[in-house]
Amino acid sequence: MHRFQSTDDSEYGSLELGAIHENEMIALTPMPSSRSVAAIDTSTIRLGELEDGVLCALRGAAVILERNQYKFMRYGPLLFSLGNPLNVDEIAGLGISVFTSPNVDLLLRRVRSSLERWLQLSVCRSLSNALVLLDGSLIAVPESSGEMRNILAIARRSNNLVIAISKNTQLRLHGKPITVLLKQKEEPCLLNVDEQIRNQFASSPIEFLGRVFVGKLATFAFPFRLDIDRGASVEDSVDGLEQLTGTDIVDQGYPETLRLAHILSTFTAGDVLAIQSLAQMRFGVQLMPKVALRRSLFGPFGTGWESGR
Amino acid sequence: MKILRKEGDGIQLLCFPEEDVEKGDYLLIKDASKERALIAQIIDVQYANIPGILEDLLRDGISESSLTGEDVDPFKVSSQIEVLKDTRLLVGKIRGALQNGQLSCDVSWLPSRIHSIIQVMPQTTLTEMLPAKHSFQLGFSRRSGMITTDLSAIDGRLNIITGRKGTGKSHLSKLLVTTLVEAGAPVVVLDVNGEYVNLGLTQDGRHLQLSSKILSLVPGLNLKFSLSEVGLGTFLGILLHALSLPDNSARVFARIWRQLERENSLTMKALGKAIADFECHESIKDALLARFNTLDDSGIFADNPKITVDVENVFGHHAAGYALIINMKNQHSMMRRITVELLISKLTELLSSHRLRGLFLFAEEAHLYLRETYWDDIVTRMRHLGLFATFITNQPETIESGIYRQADNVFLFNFSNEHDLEIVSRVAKLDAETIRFIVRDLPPQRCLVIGDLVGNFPLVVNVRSLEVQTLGATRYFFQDQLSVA
Repeated sequence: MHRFQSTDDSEYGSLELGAIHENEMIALTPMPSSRSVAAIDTSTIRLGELEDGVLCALRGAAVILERNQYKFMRYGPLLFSLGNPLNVDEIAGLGISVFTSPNVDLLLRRVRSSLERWLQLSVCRSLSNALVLLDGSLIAVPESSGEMRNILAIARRSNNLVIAISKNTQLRLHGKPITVLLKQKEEPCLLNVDEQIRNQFASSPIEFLGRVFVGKLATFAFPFRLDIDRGASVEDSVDGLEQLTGTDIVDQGYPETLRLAHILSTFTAGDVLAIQSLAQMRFGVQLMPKVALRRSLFGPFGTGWESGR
Repeated sequence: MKILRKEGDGIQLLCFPEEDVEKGDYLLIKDASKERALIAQIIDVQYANIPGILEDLLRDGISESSLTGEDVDPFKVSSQIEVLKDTRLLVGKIRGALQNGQLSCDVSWLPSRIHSIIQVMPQTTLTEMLPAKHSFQLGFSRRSGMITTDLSAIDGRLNIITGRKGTGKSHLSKLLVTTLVEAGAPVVVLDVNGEYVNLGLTQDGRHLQLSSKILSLVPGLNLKFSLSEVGLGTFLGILLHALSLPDNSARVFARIWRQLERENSLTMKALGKAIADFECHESIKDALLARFNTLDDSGIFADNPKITVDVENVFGHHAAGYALIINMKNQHSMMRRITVELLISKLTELLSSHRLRGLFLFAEEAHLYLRETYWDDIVTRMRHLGLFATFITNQPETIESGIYRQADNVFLFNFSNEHDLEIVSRVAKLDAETIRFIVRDLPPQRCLVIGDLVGNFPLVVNVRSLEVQTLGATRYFFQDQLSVA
């Protein structure tokens, strides 16, 4: 195993991981740094059905680690309803083609994405020389890739490095999830799988705005898919990850800054109750018990799936 | 407030932060459609089990310890979340109902969860509904004014005052004694700590009007009995029970006593001589003489009628209320037992011959001087004769569970010990849950009153202060503790 590239396979021998060789592993050595670490996460929730749409809530959080101190900025919960029938102008405003006949879930994802992009943009604008952590990946489809490209460009101008971390990934190599590639590794390490992955999607319109790695950021930690801004060199990417592991807490391989952003943005059952009661008080929304149609029709028969039996 | 659940006589309600409800408070649950209301008492206040509360609190904990930041919350949802987090669950017991303005025990109906109007019911509202022939001010409730109850609910009843030391038991006892005396009742206090002797004096030592109705007697000093007044039965009882005289010696003693009675020369001096001269086995004579000398040395018997106390006379001359304080402070346990045996025997005689109409007996730590056979006697037989006892103790296990079950009024001060709580939970008139939840958290001077005095609606009462010198307060070496106490 070596720092960047294998110089002599015979010296280290090789462990074949499908088509990946042991000598392609990059060892990660935590490197304390004065770089700030920022993380952004958002979440949405459907609170209930309205007569003419769906009542939803949105929340986003940005957490910044500066001089060993975590600070946050949290927006929301922001309440909104997605009307039915959907207004064509509003849909276009969200950057969705009106021909794709969007459903509520798609719209909700898009609303969430709008807040997330705005937070990411704000953070990349306001920080310099920072490590900016995003939840998810850096892939995009052509119609929505502009926003992400813009964010990455702004980040680069301020010498920020954007790193996206996916808890779950659909990417596979040789029929197995890419995170399996680091299953046997104990020490912090990184595997550059960018080329193999991009080859799989050569004919796809999907754009990989980040270089794809599989990384284990702490000893005995979970492996994650990491997308690091393609505008940064591999060397800068590895340096950035080493600085991240030396600066932030990476318990179980997941950066604390991003974990906090997730915790702060997520909705708990208590939040839902509070928002529902607020909606009731302020907007006169009446809570109605949901009709269990199957239960009404079949009684005790055929309702097992509802109770999880 | 909203009804959450009702099971048996238990009820659970949700209470929002702006609503002020505490343990012991009464709630009126009005069902508008039925024109009647349930009366429930809150016995515990808990946090409502809101879904996701653990996650919320963990998130708050993380934010408070290592995170600083700002919330942009245009809809002010966080204030609503705070309301939810502080929502309480009230655990209550249904005590009765209100129908057409009258108290009722019909609690078989269920109020509407949606349409019920739930209000805090001032405790005074409850006591005002109870009949009050001889009203007296017992104390204050937490939220409303003076709690006035009926003194006749103590008359003819068995009362128990218990709680750990320093919580205000003696204070309440003194309040009851002075109130009874002021109401014209005869009272005898068996005072083991000498803390009732100044009941007639104010805190600064001035004599109250009450002082003329208080007589403090010290056994052997100014409390003496003549043999003729005591009688053979009582005297033998002392010899057998307090001084452990063997039966065969007791038979000899009875013969000596009767002989002196026949000769009309029943005095201590003559009794001593008669025992010494009586022809019997030496061991019997020695046994009798040893006991006689003990009693003679105690000074509680006197031959001179001028220095003996005529209890009948004392109460006969003070028909407008009087208290005999039997100060047994610093006295040997045997002396206490002798005194109490003599006194109760005398009182029983006066009551059974209708020379006394009735009498209130206050017994502090009665296990120290009352022999076992007397407990049941006082609770059952003597009660019918007109001796109404109030037991005061900080050791609840010293009172048998059978006595608790027969108690008509129980005043419970704070207990924090599980064992003590379990014992007092045996009070038949109230469920163990109520006692455990409420009594454990009672601050000093506040007690849970159970029984006839409060119409069987248990009330938490701040016992009112007394003008008199109470003396029983715990003495501290470090004076600054006084303010804490």
